[in-house]
Amino acid sequence: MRAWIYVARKVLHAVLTLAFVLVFNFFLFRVMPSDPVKLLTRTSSAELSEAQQRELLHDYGLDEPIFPGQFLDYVGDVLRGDLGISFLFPGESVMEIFLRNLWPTVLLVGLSTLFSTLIGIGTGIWSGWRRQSAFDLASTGVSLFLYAMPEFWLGMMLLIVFATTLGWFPTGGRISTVTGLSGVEHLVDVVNHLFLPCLTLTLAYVGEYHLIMRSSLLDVLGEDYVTTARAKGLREKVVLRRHAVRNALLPTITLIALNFGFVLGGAITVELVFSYQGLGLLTYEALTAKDYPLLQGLFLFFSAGVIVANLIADLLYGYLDPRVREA
Amino acid sequence: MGGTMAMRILRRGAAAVLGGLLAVGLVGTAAAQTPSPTSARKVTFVVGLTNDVRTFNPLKAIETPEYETLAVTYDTLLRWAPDDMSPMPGLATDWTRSSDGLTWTFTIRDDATWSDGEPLTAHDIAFTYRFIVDKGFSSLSNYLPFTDSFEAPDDTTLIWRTTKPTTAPLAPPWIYILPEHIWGGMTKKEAKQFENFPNTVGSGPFRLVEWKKGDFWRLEARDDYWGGAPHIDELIFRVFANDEAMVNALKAGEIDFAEAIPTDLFAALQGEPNIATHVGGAASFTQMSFNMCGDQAYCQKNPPNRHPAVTDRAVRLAIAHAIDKQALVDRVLRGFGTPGTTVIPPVYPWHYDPAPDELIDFDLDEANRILDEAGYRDTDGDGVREMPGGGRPLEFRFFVRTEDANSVSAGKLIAGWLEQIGIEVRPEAITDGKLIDQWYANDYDLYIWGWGVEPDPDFQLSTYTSDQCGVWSDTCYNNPEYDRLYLEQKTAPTREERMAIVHEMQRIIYRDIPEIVLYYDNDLQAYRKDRWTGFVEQPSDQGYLLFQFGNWSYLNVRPVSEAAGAARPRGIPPSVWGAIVVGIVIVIGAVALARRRVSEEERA
Repeated sequence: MRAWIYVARKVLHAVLTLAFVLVFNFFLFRVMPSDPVKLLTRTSSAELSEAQQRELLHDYGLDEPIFPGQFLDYVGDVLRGDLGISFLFPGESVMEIFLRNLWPTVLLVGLSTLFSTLIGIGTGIWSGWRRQSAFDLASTGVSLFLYAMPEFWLGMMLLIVFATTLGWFPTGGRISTVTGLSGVEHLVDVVNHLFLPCLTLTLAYVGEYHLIMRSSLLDVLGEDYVTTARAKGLREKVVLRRHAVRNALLPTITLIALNFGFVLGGAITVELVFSYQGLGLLTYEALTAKDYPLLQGLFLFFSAGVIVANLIADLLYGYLDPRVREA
Repeated sequence: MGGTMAMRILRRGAAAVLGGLLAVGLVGTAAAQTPSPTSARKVTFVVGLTNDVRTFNPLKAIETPEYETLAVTYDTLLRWAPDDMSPMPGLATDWTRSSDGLTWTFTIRDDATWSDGEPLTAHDIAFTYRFIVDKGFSSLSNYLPFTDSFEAPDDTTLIWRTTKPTTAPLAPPWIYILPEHIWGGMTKKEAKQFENFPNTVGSGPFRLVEWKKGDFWRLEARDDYWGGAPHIDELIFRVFANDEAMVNALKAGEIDFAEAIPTDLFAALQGEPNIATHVGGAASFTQMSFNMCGDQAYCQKNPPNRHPAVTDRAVRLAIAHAIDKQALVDRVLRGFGTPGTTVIPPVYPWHYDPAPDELIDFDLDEANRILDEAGYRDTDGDGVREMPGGGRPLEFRFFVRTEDANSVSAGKLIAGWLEQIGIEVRPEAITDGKLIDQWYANDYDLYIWGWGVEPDPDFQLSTYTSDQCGVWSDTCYNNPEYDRLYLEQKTAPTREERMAIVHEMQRIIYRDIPEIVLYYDNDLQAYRKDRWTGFVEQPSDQGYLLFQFGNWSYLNVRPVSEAAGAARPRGIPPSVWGAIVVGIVIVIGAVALARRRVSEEERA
């Protein structure tokens, strides 16, 4: 029962945060400087008569007062999944553009998060467990190096080495322009294009996870309950798995959730470096073109993504650490 | 314990399953490694771009990739000759002009077809022109001035009547002919919202077949094109997020052609063994514009916020004398361009070259003398001149473009020279979007911008007329004499007479200095010479290989050999990936087995 109250409280908290973001997003884009008519027509307002401008404003509901008229429209539309019309891609709704760019980024961010956490946590545990070993010194050194590296620079270096110089991987894009690829060939083509961007994002975060996991494990290994476990005569592996790692994982999970926003930010630069058309590159294009409806939709999605990631972390926390859900 | 026994059996079973999987994986890899019979690969030509296409609707096209695609999917009434860009037959094979100069009769070819199989006739052409004029597509109707009527008495005759004599029909009108059977029933609103994809129906040498938004779009050659089938099977335009990525893809051989390459990347390409670099014709220019807003309605509505001195010709002349255009070409463009003078580039016969006594040369002493004489003196000794009679110092706001690195470098150099004549300008790099906002609001003193100029000078010259203020005019320049000449050149009875007027108009702009043409910048292009040949340069001297006025190169480009044109995906081949996956599975399996053996021994 208590567990359910904990879950309900966390979900409610996430929903409230999301509602706040929704409201904030509306006002944020209303205070940005620009003339909607000019943005819509992409031409000079001098070419349009006053009547035409009024008609345009009316068509888009921009002649209504911001509150409550425009605001209620906005909330209703968002709840129905209608995020408006993009200026940049005429004839397409923000939702369509968004969905078309969603899966490449989900694939990129999802896989790189998976790899960086698995590898980072794994090597972190090993390093902490075998402190001062050659593996610890080497992996911690490499981790510090990777942690300090800007994503775009790392991406460019990998691109120059593995794509331009060695020619092992394509220099960018999501898929080849070649026609008539079979199912397997197509899959391999997608993997080949995904490889370097995914490697870049993985390397960019693996160091951080390694360092956090290692230091948190070292903290835990000094705790009394670990000494107690050892005194009970438990085998070292059991001490590590049951007592040390499980507790040491907690701060790492918080970090992974908190990092989710940064990984999305990293996707923007990495997608730009590799011309990998996804939500990141779309954000860049929307920003440079001042496509406010599209940006508004992307902001909303990214915020929702970070909130959901935090919710998952909270729930996982409750599962891993009974103290949390009973508090 | 019984439980342990059961576990042990389970583990044995798991090991057996793992072994089986390994065997299957190995066989699979072996199968993948045997070369599959290669289907005949298509001859594919891939062009790299850094800006994306937004629409395939000819009535809405504004960006380079859109025009380049239209040029291979549609036709125009006449074409621009590859050697000198003069008008030559296109859909029209022949034409005559009535003695009063008001009626043009074109003979339309009978072998042109639409990509859906329908014949293209004179009715389609008359329909398209009428559609544009009647529905008021203002950006295109400018090419059809003084229209009286368009008629198609039969399938191969087009009669074009004008209310005034004009040579505009030979301009040639830059309007792609639309199929009446597709566009016929549309209202203006429907036509503007028409996606024109999929099922694009055009008459050009290629047919649009695929659009992977954000990645590329693919065109297929038409064997039945009236101008002859292209020598390639497929044409692909691939979009890159930045110039470096595009150039890297060219080096790696993923694309075959790149254009609008920045000078530093271009210089780096020049040593590459398989790549041919091409310095294309300078049909564009970069200029520095002054806020000239006068008494036009737009300026009344949006009163200019500017330094009063920029409206004084003496100040503008002094600034023009203080800019070393050769140094800009050498240092900003690395030599890939020519110093600027008038607003029609020298690549065109319409260009006017200022006479020696008209030439405003680089002369800082002369610039200082002009300012002294006009009464701008440095009264407080801070190195910056003040307005005549003291007061406001000559400090100008100067916008340059973050999206054009060259303009930023040019801005810095110009600020340095102006300092030497006692004018302080602070170059501020802003985005194009922001700059356009400043320009709409008439809130600027100086800025740098650029133009690509069409073979016919009409449009470019129109941008300096007073009624283009707030529309296309850079500066809101306002000169009734110029406006009169603009209309006069539209109705000049002969090319020679029109030429004289066009020259005079350029002279006026050069003399009045609403803007200073800094340089004509080259278009830098490069292609894989190990794979392609047959490009047709337009114009023939220092011309463009692609992104020309027309589709000459696309009709003629061909692979150097059959193998060279065949496209294949880049990257690690499926067989190697298969081997890697199997390798990983083996390692994981071996480690797992070893550990289990250890723990079993421990327990035993």
